Amino acid sequence: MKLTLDRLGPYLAKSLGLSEEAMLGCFRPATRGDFEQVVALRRTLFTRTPRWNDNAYLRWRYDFSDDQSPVVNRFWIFKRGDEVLGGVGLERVSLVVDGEVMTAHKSMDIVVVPAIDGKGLGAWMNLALMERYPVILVVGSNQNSHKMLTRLFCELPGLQVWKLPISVRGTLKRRFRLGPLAAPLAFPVDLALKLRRKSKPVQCPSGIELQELTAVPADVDSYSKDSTRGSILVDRTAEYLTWRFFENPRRDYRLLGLYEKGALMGYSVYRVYRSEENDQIEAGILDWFTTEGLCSADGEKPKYGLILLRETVEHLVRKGACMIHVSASDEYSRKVLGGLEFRRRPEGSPLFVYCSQPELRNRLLDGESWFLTEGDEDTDGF
Amino acid sequence: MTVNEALRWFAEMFEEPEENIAPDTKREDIEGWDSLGILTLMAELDERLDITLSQEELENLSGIDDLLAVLRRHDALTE
Repeated sequence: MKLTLDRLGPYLAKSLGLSEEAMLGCFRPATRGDFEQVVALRRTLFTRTPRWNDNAYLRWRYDFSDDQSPVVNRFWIFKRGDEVLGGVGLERVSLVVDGEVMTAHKSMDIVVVPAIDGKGLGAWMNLALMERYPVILVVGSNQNSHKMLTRLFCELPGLQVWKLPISVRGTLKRRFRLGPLAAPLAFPVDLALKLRRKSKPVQCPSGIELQELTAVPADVDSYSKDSTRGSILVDRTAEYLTWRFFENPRRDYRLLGLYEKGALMGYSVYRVYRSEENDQIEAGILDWFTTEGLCSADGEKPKYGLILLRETVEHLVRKGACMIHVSASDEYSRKVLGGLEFRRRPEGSPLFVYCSQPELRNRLLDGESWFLTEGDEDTDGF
Repeated sequence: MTVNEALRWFAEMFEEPEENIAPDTKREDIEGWDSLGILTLMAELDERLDITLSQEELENLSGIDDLLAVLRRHDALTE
């Protein structure tokens, strides 16, 4: 069935009591004067108080200035008269496709006022953005949005979650209520996990060291473009990584750099936190990349990828992590994670792709070419 | 159209497996009856059967039996 703005727009216009032309005029990037209404609308939709400062989040992620520049991240609103009825965020990203950089947009944070929920505004806003932007991506979905996204976009497998257990002590203590018995019972299991982890030899050249960094080195600027063969990924420049992880008001992320004789060979971004589910320390590796690029296409064995994640894992073990998780999408990452005894879990986040250009669309729909990490999701684990 | 033909049509419209659509299926059990599904439903009824749903009809649709009732009211359903 044809799902286009031309075909479906008139029916929403009728429901909202607007002309089609007026409806298009209602949809625009939010500016300074709209900010409080956007905050208020989001607040009405949160099922519980967010554990982040939502004002700070919105100001970090989107530009609410009165300048309508298209080259920044904007939160688009549908405003009928004085009332914001819905909105959707668009993050502008540089996509590297087989080494060529192009612009794409990631869609996120869609909201619709409950009074008109179900009338079609959410779908219409997506269709309206597709008229304006040739490449739109959505990473992840929820129960409300999944079916709509599968029909408006092409769905690719996206991210799969991989986990590496380090210690079962917390699980025994909390889930099985073993109290003081947990430690002695966990000891042999934890030892077996450690031996298994250490039994995987990783060739590590001399002069390799992992350093905790306080800023993203400019060296990473060329990584995505220079070292990817047959791959599609968001360009991981120092500017982008700094904004995405270190200016982000929602989470406290940390950065590690892998150095070989003084040269940066890769980086990883991680977060250590106390799990609400298990009340134990867990860690997530949000993003990572190395100078060897994504070598699966040539069948090469990952070298720096293995070293980087192995060293990152040991760093997180020293920080007390009982469980480490990573999300991955491609063969290269699977080789690295499988080589380090991570186990793939059933959960994941699909990738939805819209592209108006047929040739490029065919390329973007090759799910195996995408290098994605949890950093490509917009939820920051919430 | 017959009831069975209508059910197949609704399944196609909401992109649901045919076995998921029966006269007693509730709206909340049809994943595709969402924001996009409602616009598709309005377009299909209008284009195929010249049926324009009123706001009241739209707001009172709670399941497949209500859709069948709409078709009956507009003489579009043969029993």
